[in-house]
Amino acid sequence: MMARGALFSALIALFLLNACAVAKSASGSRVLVLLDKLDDRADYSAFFSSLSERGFDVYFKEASDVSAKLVDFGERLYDHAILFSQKSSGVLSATKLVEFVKLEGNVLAAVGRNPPDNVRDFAYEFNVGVDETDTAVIDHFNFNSTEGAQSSHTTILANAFAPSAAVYSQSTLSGGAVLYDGVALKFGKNPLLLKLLVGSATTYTWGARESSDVTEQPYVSGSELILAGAAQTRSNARVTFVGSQKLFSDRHICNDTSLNQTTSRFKLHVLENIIVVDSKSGNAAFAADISKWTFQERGVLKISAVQHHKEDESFQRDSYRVKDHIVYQLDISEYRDGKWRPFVAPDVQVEAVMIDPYIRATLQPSSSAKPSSATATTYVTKFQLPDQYGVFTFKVDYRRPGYSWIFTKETLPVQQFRHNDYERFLVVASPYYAAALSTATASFLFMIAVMYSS
Amino acid sequence: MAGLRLLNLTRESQLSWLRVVILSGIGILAFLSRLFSVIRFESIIHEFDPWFNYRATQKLTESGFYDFWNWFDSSSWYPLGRVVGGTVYPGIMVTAGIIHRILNALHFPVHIREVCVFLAPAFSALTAVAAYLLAGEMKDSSAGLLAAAFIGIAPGYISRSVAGSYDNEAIAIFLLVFVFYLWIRALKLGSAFWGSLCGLFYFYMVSAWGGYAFITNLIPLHVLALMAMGRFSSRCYVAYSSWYALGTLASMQIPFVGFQPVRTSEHMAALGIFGLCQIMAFTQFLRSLLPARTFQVLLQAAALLAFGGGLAALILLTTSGFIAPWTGRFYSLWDTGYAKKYIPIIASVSEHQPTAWPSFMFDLGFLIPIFPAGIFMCFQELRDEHVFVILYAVTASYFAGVMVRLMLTLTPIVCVASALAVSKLLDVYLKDSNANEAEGDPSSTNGDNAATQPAEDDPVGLISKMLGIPRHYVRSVVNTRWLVVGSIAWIMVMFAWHCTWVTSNAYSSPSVVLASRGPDGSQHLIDDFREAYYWLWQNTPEDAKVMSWWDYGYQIAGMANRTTLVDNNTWNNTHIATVGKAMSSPEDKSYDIMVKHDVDYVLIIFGGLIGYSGDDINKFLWMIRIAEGIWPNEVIERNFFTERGEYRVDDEATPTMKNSLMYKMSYYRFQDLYGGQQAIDRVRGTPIQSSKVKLTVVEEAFTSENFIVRIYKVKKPDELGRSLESAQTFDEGKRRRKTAQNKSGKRSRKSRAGSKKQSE
Amino acid sequence: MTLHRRRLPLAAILLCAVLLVFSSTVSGAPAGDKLDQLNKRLSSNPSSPITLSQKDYELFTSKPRNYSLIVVLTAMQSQLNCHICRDFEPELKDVTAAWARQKAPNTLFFGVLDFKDAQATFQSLQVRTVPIVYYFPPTASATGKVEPETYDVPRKGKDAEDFANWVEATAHVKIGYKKPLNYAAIFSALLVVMLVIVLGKLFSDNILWVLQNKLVWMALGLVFVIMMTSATMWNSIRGAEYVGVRNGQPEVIAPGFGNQYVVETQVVGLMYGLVSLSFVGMVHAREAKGVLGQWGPLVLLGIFMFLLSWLFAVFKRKNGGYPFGLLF
Repeated sequence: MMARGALFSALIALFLLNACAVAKSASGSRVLVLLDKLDDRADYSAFFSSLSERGFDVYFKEASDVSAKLVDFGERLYDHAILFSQKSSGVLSATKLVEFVKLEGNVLAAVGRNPPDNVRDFAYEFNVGVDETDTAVIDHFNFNSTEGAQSSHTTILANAFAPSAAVYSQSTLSGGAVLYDGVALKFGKNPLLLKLLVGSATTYTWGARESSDVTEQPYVSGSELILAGAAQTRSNARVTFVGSQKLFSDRHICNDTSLNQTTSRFKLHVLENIIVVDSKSGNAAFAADISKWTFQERGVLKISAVQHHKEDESFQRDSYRVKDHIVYQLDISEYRDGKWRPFVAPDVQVEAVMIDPYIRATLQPSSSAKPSSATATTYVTKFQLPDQYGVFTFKVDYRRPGYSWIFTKETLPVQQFRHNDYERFLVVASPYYAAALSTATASFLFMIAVMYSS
Repeated sequence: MAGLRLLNLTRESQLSWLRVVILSGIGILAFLSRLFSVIRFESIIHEFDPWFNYRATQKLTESGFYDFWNWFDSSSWYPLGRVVGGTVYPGIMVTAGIIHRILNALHFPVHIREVCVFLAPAFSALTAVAAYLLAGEMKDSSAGLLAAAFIGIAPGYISRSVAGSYDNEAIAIFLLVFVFYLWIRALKLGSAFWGSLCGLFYFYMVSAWGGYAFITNLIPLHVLALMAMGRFSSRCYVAYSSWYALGTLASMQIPFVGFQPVRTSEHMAALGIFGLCQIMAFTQFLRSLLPARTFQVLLQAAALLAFGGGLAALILLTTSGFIAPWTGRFYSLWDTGYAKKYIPIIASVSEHQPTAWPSFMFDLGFLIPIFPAGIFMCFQELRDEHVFVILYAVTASYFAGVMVRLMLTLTPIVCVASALAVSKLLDVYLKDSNANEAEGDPSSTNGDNAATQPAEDDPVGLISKMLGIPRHYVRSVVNTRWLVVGSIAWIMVMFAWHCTWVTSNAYSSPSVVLASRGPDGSQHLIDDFREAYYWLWQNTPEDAKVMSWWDYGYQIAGMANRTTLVDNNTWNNTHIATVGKAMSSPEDKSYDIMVKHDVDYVLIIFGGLIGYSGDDINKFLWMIRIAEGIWPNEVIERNFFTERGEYRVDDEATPTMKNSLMYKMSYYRFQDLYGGQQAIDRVRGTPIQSSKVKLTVVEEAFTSENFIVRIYKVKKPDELGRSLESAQTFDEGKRRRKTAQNKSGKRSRKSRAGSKKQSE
Repeated sequence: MTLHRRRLPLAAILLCAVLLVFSSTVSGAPAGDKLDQLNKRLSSNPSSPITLSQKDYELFTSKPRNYSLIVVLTAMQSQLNCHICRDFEPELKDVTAAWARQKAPNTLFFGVLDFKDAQATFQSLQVRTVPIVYYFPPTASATGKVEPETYDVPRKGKDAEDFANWVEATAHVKIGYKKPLNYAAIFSALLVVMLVIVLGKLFSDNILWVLQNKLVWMALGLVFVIMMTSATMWNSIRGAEYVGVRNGQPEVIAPGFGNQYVVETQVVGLMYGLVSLSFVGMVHAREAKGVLGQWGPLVLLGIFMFLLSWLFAVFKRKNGGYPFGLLF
């Protein structure tokens, strides 16, 4: 009790201290945390303090608190939301959450054994399924032995991270397994979904209470079983679903994952890439990474400048001519560790589309055209417009898992040759010129002859 | 009469002055009688094509000739664009532009719109003058004046030349008549000067209207006829050669025409006759050198051979494909079933339908019944120019019979021919020949009694005997001469009434603004189109792409200044078919099409509320047909008809019909107007489907006062990656996830989003 | 032609028939022997379509199929007077014969199903218009679709070319149909040409006289112009009826501005002719001497005015709001 009080006061101090600290997020620093009771925040003190250390202004509200608003008069009151409430869905219905997300607010939703309905519905809108109440993710081969071998093995060790550089830092990927105690998620068909942490081959979900055998095909199992998943909306708002809010709790964050000895035989081939000696759980790193990603602290891309011009010119035209040679360049920068840095990728492409793509060119990170500044990489490519007039759309559409979707398009008329763009005198036509001239002179002479002959 | 000398002029100069006055009077009349629309509505450009011409003229006046010449219009036929300079007859725009410039140079600050609106009436005055000249060549100046009067007010011509109908025909008809006048003149005088002048104005005509092909074929036909009649002369040779050589070379300067004069079948007749002329002239020349009879036979044989050779060469070239065959539009004039089968886009236009006889009467009044009389008189004195009139009459009457719009080319010749007839009649009956009246007149000074004998059986005597009134009283009333003249005058007055009535009732509404009469006869203007276009202009982004059926493309571009997918210049059938497919497909399919073409707004015309019959549901079948022409397996006309083969919109309508985007957009929220009870479509005269019309991929953006124009906004893809339909159900507040029945650990396989496959 | 009128009296029979069809479970006979049967049927007369009965239809169209079958649903009974069916039959025969001539491995069969043999099938297929063609692809086809495709004869055209093209497109086979040369036509054309030449040689001077005669040309020209201006083309394009029938008795003047009968146009053309004639007459009667000179103008004027007024009266009748008239 005492300890909790102390922690609590420490947290308050932290907030006061960090009130002025600048946020590292690209989109803003206001975070609303929804809890069942305000006291619960103590359970997640480590996580929250890490947030405020990262410069977020964290506000706590009870889910049932009527003043818990995310959006007011179409304006976001917060930039990010953390849903830790478990008991009841509270005042924030799925509709309100969707509205918040549509206004480009980011949401980190963590549920437990009995997920509240608003999160269920919210997840459903992304076509993310949450398994039923009182079911749990079970793995009889990687579980936390501190609970004892005869436990129901519902606190499992997960380390099948989606290998996305945008989300995870290297240390997390190589770090210890994540202690996970919660419900299973399942992805439906939605191109915007992104798996963050999935189950291992031996993971499945089943009723937590009954110790009976599995009588039928589980809801989901294996690597299809999502422990933590995310969706990135078309306006790059990020929503992360984690099946176990305990994952963020202090207990799991600072806990030793000492694996049970009985199944150590299986360990070798089931979990070869667990570093057993590492006894620290990966939860801290994992929580930090996914919160960083969700709150737009990493994996955020932006196009800072788009420019195109004819090869022999330097200024941008609002229309071109067929078969012109075009130089197309744009700057892309990535937001990492609190500042914009150059983003280098080999696979950025530009398309010239008129109903169908006529040209698709890969943009090269260049140093020649414009020295890549400290904040952005300049990509350049050259191509010749097709011999086809029309209104072309120059389009860059770059989506990679984990990174925010960058898209830019510009419609430009590509005109035909002007009447004076053609050659005026053709060498091949000289016989015709000769013919015309000779005829003219001949007829002139003929007229003279006729007039003065008589 | 000969005695009196007005402002001591000779009689001749009096007459010529009189002619000038009358002619100018006719010109003014022709101008004024076309102003109904301006007086009733306002000075506004009419229906569809004029809006493009107006837009092009604006471009011309704003950014100069060369920019207009190379104008690439990126805001039409998105995303294909249209090279306007190369696909347009620039004559009318240039004309209006020049007039505008002159007026401004003279410090008359006239807006270009006014110039465009009043161009057609002004040129109709000139047409009257041209008709005067042409008929004058046929007979004499009195016939000319009659012809001028007729064409000045003939509805057949007014239909295309009222103030505001700023279309090619506005100036083309003047040019047509004037070119023919010049041709006749050149032929009569055999002067290269007039021939060249003819060629010059032919060039103007070519730059103004595609109908120049009529001239290109009629003049050679005339020459051929003259040859057949053995009337080929050096005059003919000079006139034709100078016209053809200059005219053809000049016409090839129009980019839209380009090399057609030597590459397409429409122009081959002229070329062939040109060659034939040379051969004939050469043979005649040789004949003059070679007296021997045998040589002449030889020559004729050679000439025939050469002609045959040329013909064979032409045929060979055509079959080998070097010379393009007849284009569809022209070909459909000969094979009348052709268009309907192969070019639905042409058949779909109402003015390409055949003409029923009432519309002949409607457009030409009493001129049509006496038209044959005029032709008869041309046959009587069969000079070269009369041959021309006959040929013109025969061909033009055929074309007018096949296509309503070609009534336009028939009108001038009808006016001229009937003017010949009428003036002939008036000549005969106005000539005061005392001889006819004098005979059998006792009161006449040389009254010999032999004359009184037959006096009983002449009409005057008969009536006087019956009524017992003295002859001279009767004669002053029953006077053949004045009866005939009077009745003709009366008919002409009636004709004037007829023309005025037709003009004011049929041809003076600028189909942009509709006028309807209330029960109490009060006029009520329906201005939905401009309302909607104005909305588009004010409330949509500059670069918004608007999809509509092609009829409205020009108006959207002209009035709303927004990018369109298709418009009235129907040069790309596939693109039009794409729009037709989007309109006739179910929502999800058409959504893909619309997204692919960057469509932001969809504009449709719906007349069901106030009974405006020219709406899109009535044009829908054409959209389907045109789309089916390209995608016969995806759009199937049969599926839009009920099993009994009816085209219905009520509950009986086929599912394909009800699911088509066009149907849904037309009737979306139409029921709400009728509160609870059954909604009635006033055009189809049937109730519409009773179930609610649901739209998911587009949302209603604007609907005009009378529901005539409805504009829909194409939705963006859902933020959360849901299908638009499910997103809509969610936004409507319906909870999509069915909650699990029991909260126990028992498994119920409901409520599993993951297991549900959601279609993207 | 539509059948629903015809169907009503047969309703009872059809009902039973339908029941029969649905009760008789379609025998999914193995594809192999079905193919043999078809070949056997075909061997009797390979160059004409197989006449199917209702049972055959059920059998051959049942899955699985290792052949493609084209069934023409038609109605040749005289009382159904389906003209298109009769027109289409020879064309179908030609196409079948062309296919037989191909000597291709028998994978495509043509069958005919007549309404009188299989009314129940028509009923169950909900066929309203005949002739209509169904194409049944092999069940294990490359395209993967097994549902029949239809060829709507009245709309897609009943000529053998169109049909053959469609078959080639859908069944991916080479029919190789070629329109047979119409020798009779060619021969007769040649005959006519020769006749013309011979006659021309014989009566050359008379013909020349005719050709050079102004009257002939005048007559031709005037008749043509009058025909055209009285909208004969409308009749030929729209296929107008010769004369209308309004409750029993014939109707000469069609109601409505945009509508007309053939006889109507003929009458109008005649009127045009007479009006012009009287008009020209007036011109010439003036010069005439004697009785004609005295009476002619008045009488002709009378005729002229009367006919013209009549024309306008008719026009007024067709065009409701028209306010004017001459004499009446």
